[in-house]
Amino acid sequence: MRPLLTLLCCLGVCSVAMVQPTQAEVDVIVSPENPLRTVTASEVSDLYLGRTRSITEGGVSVAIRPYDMVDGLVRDAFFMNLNGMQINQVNAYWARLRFSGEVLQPSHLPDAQAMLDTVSHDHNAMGYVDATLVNDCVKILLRLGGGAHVPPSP
Amino acid sequence: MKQIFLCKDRLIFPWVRPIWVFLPLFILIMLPTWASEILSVSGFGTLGYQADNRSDVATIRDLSQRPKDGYATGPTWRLDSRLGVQIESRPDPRVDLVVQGLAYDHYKANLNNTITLAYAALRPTVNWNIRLGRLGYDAFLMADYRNVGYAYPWVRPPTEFYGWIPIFSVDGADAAYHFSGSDGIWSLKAQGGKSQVWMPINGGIGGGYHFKTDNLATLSASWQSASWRVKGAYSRFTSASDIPLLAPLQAGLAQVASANLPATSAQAADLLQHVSLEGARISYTTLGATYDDNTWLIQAEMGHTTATADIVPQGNMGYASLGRHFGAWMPFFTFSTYRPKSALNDTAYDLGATLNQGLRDPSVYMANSTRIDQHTLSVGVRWDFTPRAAFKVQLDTMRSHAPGCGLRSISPTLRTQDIHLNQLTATVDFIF
Repeated sequence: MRPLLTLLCCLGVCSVAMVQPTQAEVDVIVSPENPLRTVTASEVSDLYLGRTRSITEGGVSVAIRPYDMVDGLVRDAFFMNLNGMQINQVNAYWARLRFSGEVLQPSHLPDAQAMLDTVSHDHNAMGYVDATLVNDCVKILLRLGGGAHVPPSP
Repeated sequence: MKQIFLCKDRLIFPWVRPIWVFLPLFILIMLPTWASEILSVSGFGTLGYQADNRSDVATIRDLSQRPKDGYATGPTWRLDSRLGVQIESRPDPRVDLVVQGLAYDHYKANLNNTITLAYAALRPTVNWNIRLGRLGYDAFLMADYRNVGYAYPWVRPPTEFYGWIPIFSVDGADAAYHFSGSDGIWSLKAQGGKSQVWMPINGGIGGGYHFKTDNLATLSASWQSASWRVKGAYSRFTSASDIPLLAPLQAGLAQVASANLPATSAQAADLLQHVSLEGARISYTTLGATYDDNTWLIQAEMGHTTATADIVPQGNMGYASLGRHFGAWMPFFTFSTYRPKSALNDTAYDLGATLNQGLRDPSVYMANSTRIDQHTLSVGVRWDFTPRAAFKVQLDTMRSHAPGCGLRSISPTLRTQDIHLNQLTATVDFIF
């Protein structure tokens, strides 16, 4: 009986930890060569939920290849601040798309360095990283977190 | 004539007899991508345990399942447990290659039935998506992911709506066009091909049959926004195989129908059509919607089926489900129902005393035995205890009305009785 109670307690702690809101700021980034200058949270959400594969700005449609992160605090913060989805909801949503054969999921990169390297070398790539880790190799299109969606300073 | 057609069919459309041609080709294309690290392996699964209060009735989740011991099945792991593995490759940004295999307890497990997806997808522009190979069936809101338990809140899709669908994959092609509009994304899709599945008769006690379809065509339109997903579809196909068990009955009716007996022959021909699966034309019309604002989940779907033979289940069906997110928990409530068209009435036919007993009565009995007249009330809860696994528990109370065996395996004597069954199911659904 005791192991079962211990297991249930651990699982309960896990589930409570999963729903803690996060205040971390996350930057949506593209290559400096990418023609996009700004995006909305709604456009980014549509891209990361497989609903669209391009963003239109000034009448020009730009094909975008989104890159995701492996499960972790940054991914939690990104989706929670982007569209209010918990990570288990995102995973369930993508399980539907992926295993029905509708859309393949974006590639998952292991850390911020891999994300910065990938996005800086691919003109069509879009990614996200912890705002404290952004460098000059990428262009920030949107800052998420702190209770609002903030366009980057020019 | 039929043989000529089949031969012609294979010559002209070798690709729609695809799995043995497509799969090796597919593997050859995929192999080089392994080295370049763009091949990925993922999967999904369910470990489920189900128990009910009837020792004389075996519940089924879909028509391809065979209860372990026919009509009577006790608590079981076999109803909902399954494991799927998917291999994906993207050799080019405009090309996807996908193979998916699914292991679960079904009537005839072989490689052909285990491969649920095997397709190449091409995206010539950002708006178009064209797929060729073995595909998911597009005629319902959830038909193409009904085995992915992690993707929905319940332990299984509502049985009255998804349990009777005899199409599990489509061998063919589809094309989808996506565009923005009405503050959301529209998707228009056309799908064509054929399908096959082995199904048991009478819980496997009567053997089984290979159900094949031909000329399958589906059109669908869907729209989704941040919280909404709405889909409408129309699908039609022709049954390309029959139930061997019915051959003697069909032969007898055909003999009477061709005897040019006034009135009697016409009635025999009509009965023959109702007990002949091969050649039956079947259509599905569906409309479904999901609303999920990260607090409330509401999903409802309704459908209408028609068929030119009464041995094919047909009628109106629907379900509605309401769930509420509480962090990692989601309690839900679901009602689902299947209302059949009127049962075939033996008094409408009179073939004479001898033929009534030898042909009419068994024909009417067989045509009505596949009727589904049942509804289910379900209450349950989903608990996402990790970001990639969920525990669910669900209580169902089902009632079905005679005649017909509904979506369960029962002995012939029970087909003339109403049935009430309660079942409790617990599952762990996961992805990897």
